[in-house]
Amino acid sequence: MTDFFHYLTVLSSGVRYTLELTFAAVGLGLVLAIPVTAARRSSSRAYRFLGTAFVELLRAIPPLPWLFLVFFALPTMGLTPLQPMTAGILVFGIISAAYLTEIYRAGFRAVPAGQAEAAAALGLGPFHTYARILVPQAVKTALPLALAYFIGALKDSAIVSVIGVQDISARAVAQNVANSNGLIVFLAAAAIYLCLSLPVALFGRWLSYRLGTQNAVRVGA
Amino acid sequence: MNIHAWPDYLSQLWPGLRTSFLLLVALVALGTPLSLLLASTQRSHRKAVRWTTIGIVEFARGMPSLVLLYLVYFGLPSFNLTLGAFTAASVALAINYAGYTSDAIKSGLDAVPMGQVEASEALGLSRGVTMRRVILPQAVRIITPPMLSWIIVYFQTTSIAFAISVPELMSKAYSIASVNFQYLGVFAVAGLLYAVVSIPGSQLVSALERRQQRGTP
Amino acid sequence: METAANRARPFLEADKVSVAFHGKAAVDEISLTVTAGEVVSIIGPSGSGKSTFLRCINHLQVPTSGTISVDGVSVVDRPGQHPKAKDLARLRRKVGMVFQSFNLFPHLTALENVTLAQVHAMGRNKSDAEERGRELLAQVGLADRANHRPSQCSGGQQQRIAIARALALDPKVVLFDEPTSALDPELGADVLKVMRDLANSGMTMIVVTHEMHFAEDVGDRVVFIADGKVVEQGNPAEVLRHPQHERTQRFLKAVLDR
Ligand SMILES: Nc1ncnc2c1ncn2[C@@H]1O[C@H](COP(=O)(O)OP(=O)(O)OP(=O)(O)O)[C@@H](O)[C@H]1O
Ligand SMILES: [Mg+2]
Repeated sequence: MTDFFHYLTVLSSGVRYTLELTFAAVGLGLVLAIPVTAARRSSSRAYRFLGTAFVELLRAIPPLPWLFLVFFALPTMGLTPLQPMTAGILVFGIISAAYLTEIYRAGFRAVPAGQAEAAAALGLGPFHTYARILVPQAVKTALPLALAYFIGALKDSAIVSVIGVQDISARAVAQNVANSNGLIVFLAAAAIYLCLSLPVALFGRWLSYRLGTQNAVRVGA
Repeated sequence: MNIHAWPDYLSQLWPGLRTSFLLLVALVALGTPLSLLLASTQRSHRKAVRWTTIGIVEFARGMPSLVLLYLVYFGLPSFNLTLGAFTAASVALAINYAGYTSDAIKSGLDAVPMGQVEASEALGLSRGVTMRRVILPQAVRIITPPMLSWIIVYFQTTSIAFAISVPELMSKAYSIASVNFQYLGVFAVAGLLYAVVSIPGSQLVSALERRQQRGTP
Repeated sequence: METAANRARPFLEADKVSVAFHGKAAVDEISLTVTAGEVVSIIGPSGSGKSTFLRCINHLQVPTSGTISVDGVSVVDRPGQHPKAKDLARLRRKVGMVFQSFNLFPHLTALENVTLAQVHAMGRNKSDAEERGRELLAQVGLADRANHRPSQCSGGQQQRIAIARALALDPKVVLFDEPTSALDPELGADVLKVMRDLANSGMTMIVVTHEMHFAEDVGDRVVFIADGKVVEQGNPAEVLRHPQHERTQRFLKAVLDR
């Protein structure tokens, strides 16, 4: 048991990297998803196709090949090698953009068609229709989903340990190599991830209860 | 970029893809019965059973798949149980998969009206027969699309078995690329192989969902 | 007050308007002329194209062919053309619309529902908009509901808020698409009373409805539509009591037998 607490403190030094990566990536994704959502909802066929292709391709390929492409392959094309952390943020940021686009779209789909029609009938322009009518209602559906996605991203981010980001998982691997005490080391790692995601999960539950929406936890690999 | 070499990479990656598929088959075969069990014990009217199940489910999906993988591979030896990398990956991902999918199965079971259970009871059917012959067949229709999309998700998740050197697609790609240094071509082909399986898969899921929506008024 | 000459001037003109969905005509060359202050009721069987035609008038539905002008504003010169945003905005300021399912904005209070477009589509300042909003809510008998959300109001109250919202832009004509058919008869009566007052005040109205009493008592004209075509139109009492066409007779018999 003392071992367990010892490892908890040792692994905690990785929390910073896990959180930094997740927040930066999801933050990047939240912004990038806006133009992609606009493309997917556009009346132009070409934009819709590009938006769909982006989302489908990013979701159809797991993070690891993307990570290897950015981390190992880009430098062979004459680009400056990226720091592992930067590569991780970039890859998970772009992947989040794809998933968050789908979450934004689910938010808009949950708003009845009559709302946009009523706004049009009242002569509201596209900006006010989105800003005042559609987005405030879409958020109700999208926010709990985005929180669930955040938790998923926090856990998925563990894979960046294989390219050398010193996150919780990387520290656990190192401890395991040094002490061959895998059971306790990885239980400690699990406990830390749980402690990080639990508050977000509880907040999400409370939020979707408050907003009266479903808390559908459905996050990709 | 040397596209002409891609067919060559493809044939070199092929055994890796096969292993990825085998891993998927193993984890689904192990995980689905477990998921079904967790779904039905989550519906138990005994509080202790329900809460134990919730505990197991939250444990199974509360940590990263990668950590669960390490836990099984490096942790079980503490119980004098050493699994090979492939077996460890199948077991770990099966537990993870069961944790996530039990909710989908549970809501499928919940969607079958109470009246069906009551009617079966009135007919004197045992609980097992009621589950197997009355509830499951009706729930399967609802459960199939979400389960399929989870299977696609887990096809992609098999890539993390790279971390314990299961010779699946990513491990193969990595070892090929570290010999020929063609990182771009090799990883691009590997990535596309995942896409070539996943995209038709998710299209099948949407087609099933659309058909279901039309079927139910 | 409307003068006789004013009343006779065609105020709204729909010329051979057609709408096809997947190659099937939902509205088939409907022409309709409405004079200022007139109240026109549109009746007809379900799926006959009443809503689709009504939605063409404010361009929520783009006609496949035909043209529409309202008070001199025509959003397209050629059918099928994409209207300019400015023309569309001008048209929609002149045309108010009340939906069958209200379509109130659920995250806004009654007053905010009524003021939003005044501020963001008309450019009125906020305090004027609120003053006008309160006035309109009082006019539909809901002064005390100003700060309630739609979900805290009954269906009849919601529809009256929706009417106030449509009137807030000082439209020249108001379109109603079965405004009472989602309501219990008792709640519908409150809505019909507001509509009757509105008609008496001289508002031009086009009302798709199944309320035959309203069509007869309040309407100036009844238009019967079946299969996307105008089958018969005229004085309400005549059309409703002595329909000329067999299709109209069949429809009215079915409605009255219910
Ligand atoms: N957006 C659409 N896409 C395809 N078909 C449509 C669409 N809107 C309406 N239709 C079809 O056009 C026809 C006319 O519909 P419309 O809603 O105008 O009828 P209605 O007279 O208003 O009927 P109701 O009394 O039921 O409201 C129907 O056959 C309908 O199915
Ligand atoms: Mg209609």
